[in-house]
Amino acid sequence: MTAGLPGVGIGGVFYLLCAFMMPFAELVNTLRGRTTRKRWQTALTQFGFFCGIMSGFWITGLLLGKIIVRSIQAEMASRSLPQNLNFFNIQPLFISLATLIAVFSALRISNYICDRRIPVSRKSALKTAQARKRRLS
Amino acid sequence: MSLHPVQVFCRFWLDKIGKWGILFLLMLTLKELEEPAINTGQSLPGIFLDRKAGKGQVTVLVPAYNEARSIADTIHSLRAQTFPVHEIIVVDDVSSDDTGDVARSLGCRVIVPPKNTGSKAGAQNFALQYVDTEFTMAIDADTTLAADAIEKLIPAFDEPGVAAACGFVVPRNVETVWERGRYVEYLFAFSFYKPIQDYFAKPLISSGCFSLYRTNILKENNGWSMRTLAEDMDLTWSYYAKGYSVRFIPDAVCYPIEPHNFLFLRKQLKRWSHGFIQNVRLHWHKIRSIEYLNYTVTIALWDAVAASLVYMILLPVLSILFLNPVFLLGYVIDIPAVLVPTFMVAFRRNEIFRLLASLPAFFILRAVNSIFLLEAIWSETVLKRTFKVYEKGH
Repeated sequence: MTAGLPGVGIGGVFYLLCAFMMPFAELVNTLRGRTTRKRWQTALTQFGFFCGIMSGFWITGLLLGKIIVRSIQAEMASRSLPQNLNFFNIQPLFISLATLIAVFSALRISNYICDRRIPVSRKSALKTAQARKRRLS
Repeated sequence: MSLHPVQVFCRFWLDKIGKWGILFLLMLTLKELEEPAINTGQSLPGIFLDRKAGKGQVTVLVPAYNEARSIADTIHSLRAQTFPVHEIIVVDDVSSDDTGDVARSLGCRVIVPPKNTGSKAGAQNFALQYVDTEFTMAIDADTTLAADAIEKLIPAFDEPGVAAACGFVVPRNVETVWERGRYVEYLFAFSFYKPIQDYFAKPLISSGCFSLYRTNILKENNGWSMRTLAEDMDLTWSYYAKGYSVRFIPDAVCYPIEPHNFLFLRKQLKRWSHGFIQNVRLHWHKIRSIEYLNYTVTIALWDAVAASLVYMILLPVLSILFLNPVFLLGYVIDIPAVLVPTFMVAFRRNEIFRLLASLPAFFILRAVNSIFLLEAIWSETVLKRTFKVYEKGH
């Protein structure tokens, strides 16, 4: 099963951003000696998708521009319009990015508030459990 | 020339907040890189100490209720695996057709609970007591596997701490609009989203239709919980909360039968949507601090609300208000995002024409999906009416 609506909204932007980051993250892993060929393959494939998707948006914008310019010029023959009008606009992506940042910030803040509400006894129990986990690993 | 208000708004965001936002995101990225999320799963030593008979072997559980028409294909595909299966246990959940007889005739062990368990989780739990191998595989009775599916999944468990692994899902029949929509949805989700989630060590769900589990951890978890309608999501998130890992292996492919008509689709979407919201409510206090999973769940929830409202209300209202159909482009604005990864997978599978013919159906299915998500959110969180009836819909 899948959850949510694939492709739309800030989810799309989030995964695009992740795909963009993956080769850089893998580079860091490589420098730390924690990489595998399979992981590089995944990182580069997803980065390729990122590049393909961004190019796809750009080409779609360009094609839309050409279609619209042509249809307008057919109606108003006397007016000259730019031939290479591109409807691809980076600004909506930034709006989505800003929304994404706002949502994640809200998550961080709510986590911070919730963590502060945890009683001291439970906090120390959590710390002990984490220390035990670290020791075991 | 005066600027359009939308342009002014965009420029404001870009100039004033956008740059700071990018900086903030870079900081988040660097923070993420400090602790690279690799599926090393070193958290729980001891699970390999469990050396008993059946080590390295797989028992397959097939919960089935009135699946006489499809279960034979499932069993045949299990028998044809390159990795031999130790035992196939079919749970005939008090079917009214001859599901049990078909399974028996194909040499499977058939067990029948005293009464209908009411859900897939119930049937699987009933069968779990008969499993004594190291691995347990759960597969739907309408799902077939690629011949090497199990062989591809098994190596995922070489890493310590891996409790479950799932594979790539492709609908077996791609004919009706709903099947075509689901075909594109799966190609997109399993080629773009899921590998990214796996890279960051947190696949959102180990799909219930085909997953492999480490038996001792599954039993330690008391099997599949029946608290929610999405038992696979519940189990996956429970594993994360306990420190285990889950893997997604794209080379292990399964082929389920997806709903072919709206009646079945409605049942499935209702179950999935309510299951998702129920799981968010149930697990939120635990998963909110699990890095990356908390992000994916948050954005899935955000989009379930925001994108659904945009689809159902904003776009139609704007197009009517301004008498301009250009707003309806919003329904398909992300075609390039959907097309690029799906095209690559379809190309590898030699299914380009199938993909192109199915693409419009994806946008129809997504709009329908948004209605069910909104209904589930409204019903579960506002009306506090929990949907509990497990309706079989493939």
